[in-house]
Amino acid sequence: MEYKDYYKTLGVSRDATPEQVKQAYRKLARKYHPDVSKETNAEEKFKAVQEAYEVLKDSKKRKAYDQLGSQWQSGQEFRPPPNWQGFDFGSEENLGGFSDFFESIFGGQGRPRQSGFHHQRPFKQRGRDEHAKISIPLEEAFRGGDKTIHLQVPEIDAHGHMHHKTRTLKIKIPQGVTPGQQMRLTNQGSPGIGQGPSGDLYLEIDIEPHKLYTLQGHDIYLTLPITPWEAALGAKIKVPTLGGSVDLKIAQGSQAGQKLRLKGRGLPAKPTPGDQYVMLQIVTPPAKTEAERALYEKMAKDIPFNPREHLF
Amino acid sequence: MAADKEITVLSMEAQSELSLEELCEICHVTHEFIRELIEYGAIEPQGISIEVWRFNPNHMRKIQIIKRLQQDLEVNLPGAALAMDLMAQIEEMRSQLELLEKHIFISFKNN
Repeated sequence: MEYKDYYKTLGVSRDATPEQVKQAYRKLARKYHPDVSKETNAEEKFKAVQEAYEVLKDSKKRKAYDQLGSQWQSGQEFRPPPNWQGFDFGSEENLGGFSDFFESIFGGQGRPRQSGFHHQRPFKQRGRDEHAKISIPLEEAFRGGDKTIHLQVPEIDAHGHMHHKTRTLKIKIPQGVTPGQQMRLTNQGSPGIGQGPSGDLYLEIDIEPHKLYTLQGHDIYLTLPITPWEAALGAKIKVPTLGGSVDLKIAQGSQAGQKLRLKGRGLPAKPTPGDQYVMLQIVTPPAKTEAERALYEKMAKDIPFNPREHLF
Repeated sequence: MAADKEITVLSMEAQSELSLEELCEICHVTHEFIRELIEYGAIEPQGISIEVWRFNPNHMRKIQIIKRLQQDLEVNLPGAALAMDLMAQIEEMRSQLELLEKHIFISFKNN
C-alpha cells in the first residue's frame, strides 16, 4: 500500500499547531467539497483531506502517525513495521471510505464488530449511505434502456477488515432522464456494524457533453450552418435531431443567430417533451476562383446593401 | 479485490412522492429539521399543512446536500440554505454561458 503524507495533503508543516491544522482543513474542505467544487477529482481530493484531518486533528492519532517517522514520501510503498500492532481507537464512526493505509494504521484493531467485544453492550450502527455517479451519453438519455455498471463497494469481512469488491448492477435508464436525477437503492450502501442495517446506495445521473447538442432542461440546442443564399432565398434543410433527421423550413430573409424551434424534438418528458432549438449560423464561401470573385463583385454592384447604416 | 457475479435489475422510474415520515426516514433526519428547512425556505413541499406535505426526489437531494454541507463545512442552516441558493444561481449561469459559447457566439463567427 502507499504511504500517505497527511501533512502534505493539508499543506502544513510537521510542527503545525492544532489551530493551523484546523484552518488548513477548513479551507481545503470548502475548496474541494464535492457538492460545491467543480474541480476535477474534487471528491477524491476531499476524501484525502478528510482522511488527513481525521488523523491530524486527534492528538493520539497524530502521535501514532508521527511514530512512523518522517522519512516516508507520499506514494512510497509502505508496510507497517513487523511488530506493528495497530492502534486501538475504540468504536470509531464513519471510518468507511478511507485509504488502505489509514485502515492498516487506525482501522482493524479497534473495529467494534471484532470478537473480544462480546462482553460489552452489543454495538449497532447503520451503514453509511453511498453515492455514485453514472455518466451516460445524451443519446442514451433520449432513448433510455438498460445499462450495466460496475461499482467499487466497501465490505467488512469476518475479521473486521475493510475490503473493496466490485459489484455489477444492471439498471434501467428511463427515457428523458436529466443530469442530477438520482435513484435510491435501499440497503445497497455500506454494511452496518453489529446488527445495524446497511446504508442506501444513491446513483446520480450525469450526461456527457455532446459534440453537436447542448442540453438545457429537456430542451436541446443545435447550431445549424447555412449558406448566404439559403438564408436569403429560404430553403428546406435536413436537420439532425436525437430521434433522427427532420426537414426544417428556413424562411427567406433569415439572419445569423436566429433561433428556430422544432417542437417536441428534445428529451422525452411528461406531460410535454422538450423542444429542439436550431441556431442559424451563416457561413460565407470564400472566393477562390476567378468566377467566384466575379459573382461576389456582381452582387456588390447589383445589391444595394449597407449593414453599417445605423452606425453613422 | 473480489469480483462478484451479482446482477440486480433496477429502474429509475419508480420515484414517487414522499410523505414527511418517509422523507425523514430516508434522509435520517428529524421532523424538526425538515420544519426548519421549510422555515428558511430551503425546501418548499407541496401542500399547505404538515399532514398533506408531499416531497419529491429533488427535495431529498437538497436535504442530503445541506446535511453534508453542515457536517463537512460546519455551516449552520441559514448558511447552508444561502450556499444552496448561490450554487443554483451559479449552475444557471454556467449553463447559460455554455449555451452562449457553443451556439450563440459561434453563429456570428465565420469559420
